[in-house]
Amino acid sequence: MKALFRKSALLPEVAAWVGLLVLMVVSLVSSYVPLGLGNGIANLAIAGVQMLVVVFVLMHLKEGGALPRLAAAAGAFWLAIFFTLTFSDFLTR
Amino acid sequence: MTDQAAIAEQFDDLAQQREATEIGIWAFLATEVLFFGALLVCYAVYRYQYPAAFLAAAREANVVFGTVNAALLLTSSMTVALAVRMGRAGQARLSGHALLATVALGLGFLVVKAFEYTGDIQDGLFPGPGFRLAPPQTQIFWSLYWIMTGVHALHLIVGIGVLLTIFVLLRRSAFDPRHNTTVEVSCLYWHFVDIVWIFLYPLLYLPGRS
Repeated sequence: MKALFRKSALLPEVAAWVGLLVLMVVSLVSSYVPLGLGNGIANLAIAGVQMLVVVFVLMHLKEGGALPRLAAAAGAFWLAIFFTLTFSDFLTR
Repeated sequence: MTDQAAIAEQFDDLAQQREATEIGIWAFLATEVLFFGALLVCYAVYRYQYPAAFLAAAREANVVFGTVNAALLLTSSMTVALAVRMGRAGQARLSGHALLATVALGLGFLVVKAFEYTGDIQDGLFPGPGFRLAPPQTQIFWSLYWIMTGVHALHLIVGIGVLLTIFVLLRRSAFDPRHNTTVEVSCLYWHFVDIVWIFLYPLLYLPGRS
């Protein structure tokens, strides 16, 4: 375990972890500030940034080829269709 | 183990094998995105229809346990990424240690969750008879809370099993992590479970605090 700690200092994974925890605290603190609708928007925007950090740095997608990126993007693409079509109903009632 | 031995017979070379397994796991994760996506769309629709009830309901969620668990999972994402890095560098022992640290963090998450669930039930936050919040739409939020966190916990338990298996295989030198994508693919699944919590945390614990 000790060797693991020594070897892992200053790696991008550790920097990403610090960033993720800072973002989590910012999200938590911001939710106690009255911003109205802004609270939810801020929380979700921060979650989006956290997801990108995990996907590109920790999941090493940055280093991957084009095809794995395409497969990953497919998930986001179909989720977007799911939300768009559902809310094209609810938002227009 | 030679390079040749690490290549399954259907592949020409290591690069092709690596890319094929990466596409495979990402395609699987895309289906998982849609699985949780259905719950997220459901949440979004009901929150859009009953915003006040959702804020009142989310205020009752235990934000301390939720935050501790978010920190545990974010940390586990780092340790599991380190397992991949060490594995690629051929440091199988360190990679195994990082996997064990990840498993420990995952178990910690489950322990916290168990305390949280117990508190929720004692607090009358399980939908059905004895549910203590009003208006009635708060039950929709709490139904989603139990389903979403429950399904997420199931994924985490599966992840713990997968990582423990990989750890044992690494210990037995069943494969060489420099050439084999077993560690990487399992770790991508773990990251996915973390990403789900990254979204559940602000949706279930943070609304209605201000």
